Amino acid sequence: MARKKKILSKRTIFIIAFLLPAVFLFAVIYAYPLVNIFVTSFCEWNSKNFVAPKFLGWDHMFDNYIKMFTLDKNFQMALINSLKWVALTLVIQVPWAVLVALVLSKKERGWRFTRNMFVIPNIISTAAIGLIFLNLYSPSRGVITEICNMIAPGSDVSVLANENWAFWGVTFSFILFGGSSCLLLLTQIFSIDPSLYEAAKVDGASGLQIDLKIKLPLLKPMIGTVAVIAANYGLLLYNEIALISGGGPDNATFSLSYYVYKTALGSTKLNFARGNAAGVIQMLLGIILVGMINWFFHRRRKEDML
Amino acid sequence: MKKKKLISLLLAASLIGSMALTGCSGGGGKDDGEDTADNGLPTVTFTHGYYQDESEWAPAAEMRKIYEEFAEAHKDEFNFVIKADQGGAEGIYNTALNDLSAGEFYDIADFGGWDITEAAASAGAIMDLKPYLDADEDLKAGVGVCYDQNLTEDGKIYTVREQIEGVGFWYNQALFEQAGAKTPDQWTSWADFDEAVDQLVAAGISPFSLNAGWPTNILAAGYSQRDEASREFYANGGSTESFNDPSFIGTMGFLQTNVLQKIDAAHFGPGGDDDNQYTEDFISGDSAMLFNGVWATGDFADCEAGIENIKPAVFPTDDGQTAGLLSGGCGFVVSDKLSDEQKDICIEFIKYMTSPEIAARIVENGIGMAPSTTIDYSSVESEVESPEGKLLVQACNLLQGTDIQVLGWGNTFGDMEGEIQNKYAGLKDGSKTPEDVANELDQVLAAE
Repeated sequence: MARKKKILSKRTIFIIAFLLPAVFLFAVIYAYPLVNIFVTSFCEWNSKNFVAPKFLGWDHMFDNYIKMFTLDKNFQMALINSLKWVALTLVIQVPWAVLVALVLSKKERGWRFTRNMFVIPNIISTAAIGLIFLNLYSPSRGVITEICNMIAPGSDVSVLANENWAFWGVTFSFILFGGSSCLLLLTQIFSIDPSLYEAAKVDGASGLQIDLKIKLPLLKPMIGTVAVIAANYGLLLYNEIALISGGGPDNATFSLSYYVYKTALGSTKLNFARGNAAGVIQMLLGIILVGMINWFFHRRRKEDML
Repeated sequence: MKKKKLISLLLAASLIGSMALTGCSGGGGKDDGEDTADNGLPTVTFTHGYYQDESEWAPAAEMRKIYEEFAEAHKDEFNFVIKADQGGAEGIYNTALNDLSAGEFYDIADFGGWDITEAAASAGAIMDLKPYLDADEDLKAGVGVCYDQNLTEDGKIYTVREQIEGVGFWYNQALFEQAGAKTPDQWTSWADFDEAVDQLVAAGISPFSLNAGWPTNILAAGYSQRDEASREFYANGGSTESFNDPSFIGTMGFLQTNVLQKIDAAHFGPGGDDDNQYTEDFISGDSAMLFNGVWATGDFADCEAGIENIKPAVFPTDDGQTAGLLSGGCGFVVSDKLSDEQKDICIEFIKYMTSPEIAARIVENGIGMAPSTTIDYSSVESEVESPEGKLLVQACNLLQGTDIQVLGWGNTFGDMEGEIQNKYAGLKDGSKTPEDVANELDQVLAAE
């Protein structure tokens, strides 16, 4: 017994020895900045006191948050837009990826080509995608204006110059690109035991019934994972906005990430404190979002098991 | 088993060791210039953003030559190390922000318009140039408008430049004549502008091409000089507490009805100002006016519009004066941590860069407009041979002779520049009134 204990303690030492670097790296690379962001969000920290953030005081410690939620229209716009993009990825991108994965899993002729085509946008950098869409929407060079002019002569539609259309202009630059999600789902579908399909076919199940009653239920854990990844992408959206709309027109396409950049580094005021406060909100939203999605899929799984 | 444990231990140790080494490796080699100081002479490192190859941008090569001549002329007195940052002025600014956090700063750097002064001054990292400027009349004359423009509220001057943004506008004389419109050199009020625009539109000529940023801002700044009340609001623009001012609302109203709604939507993008199509339209002869600075002459050589048709102009006012936009902005900034000897070297360099000789070279080589009040542009023009160079000198001469010289839109309103230009799309499509714009801008001010 004593020997066993000794062995265990040696093992523990080894485990700790291996974990230490990772814990140290986490503390330096993640934990310290997170704590720093959280603490400085209660400070005054801008170009006037660039090297010495000043605590706002206990009575005013939430000033940055209060101003953001009550006065700062750009933050409010960014928050609403980010939540809309999260919802749209969950409602459009994830179901779209599931649908494509289900269709491709039937391995009809040309499925490999279709799969590769679907994945291509995901292996091109978002910067390049942004430039492509910027040119598509350009009133002087893009085809969108041309097509609109063919339908309604003289309309001279400028997608990115209109506050309502610009949001959708940015949205369509990423919402249908679910290639990575589709690949994950396909892998999951291909790992399902084929005997289940054969048994279903023997019982007279149609292709649609196999999709709905066998594949989809077994895909749920992966759909949950894909939903978390997609929703986070929507919440953290930055590149497309920076390249396509620059947050405009009239800040109508601000996202939380873009707001953080513009507030902290994109302005001469260098308002790091306000940017960090927005970062804290973004972090909290991310945690809540992941928790909700996990809860939803976990609950559904439990219900299915019952 | 023992072997496995040993390997495990080695792996863990190497991980920790590599992290420690990574952590210790920073900080080296920032000032390579110090290494060259083995001749016993004091050393100053100057960083600039003119990194481009001559074939890419000729003025960059000329600027480097100017710097090198200074270093060469003083090589027996001190080491003047010149470094080009491949990130340009923006790269220098970003590096400076990082350095400030570590308590460091460049010896001397040219920030090329990227304003680092507030952050650097709050960190106590940069020196006040005012005592040196006050003590030397030639130096003060050399920095021209930068002296007043860069004077802070607490009476300090942290930066001066060797060149400034000189902005009026350009027009195509042939298109004006074709429309039978009075050319800008004959305008005596903004009513003349309106009349000319209407005549150009009636003749089927696009009066100007714009985007939702730079050129529209120039026109707004020019119109803001129309009368005393508007000029007063503009002069205090950086510290304004409300945009609900009749003169500002008047400027927005002018932009809406007399400018933006007179032209097509093309090139009027999302609120960004990166679409350069407005320049293309002018140099191809498709629009009659271009709102851009003196440096635009670089695009005029062999252009379709015909360089002989292109003329510089300055803005009229409604009280019989002329106005131009002359912005110094952030240029040379010197570290306060240098020794007195090193500081003197930096001042010597600034004096050299703002001297009449270098000012003339900057203008003659088509680099830009110099701030010096002592330049005789008429004699400079005789030294210049190229048509685009002559145009540049003429434009500088016109600007130097204006009755009213003010900062540009961005230098006046700071971060609010972006917020204001965000409203142009709404003004153009009529979804916003000038009053809406003022109210929305006030909301932004309140949130700061």
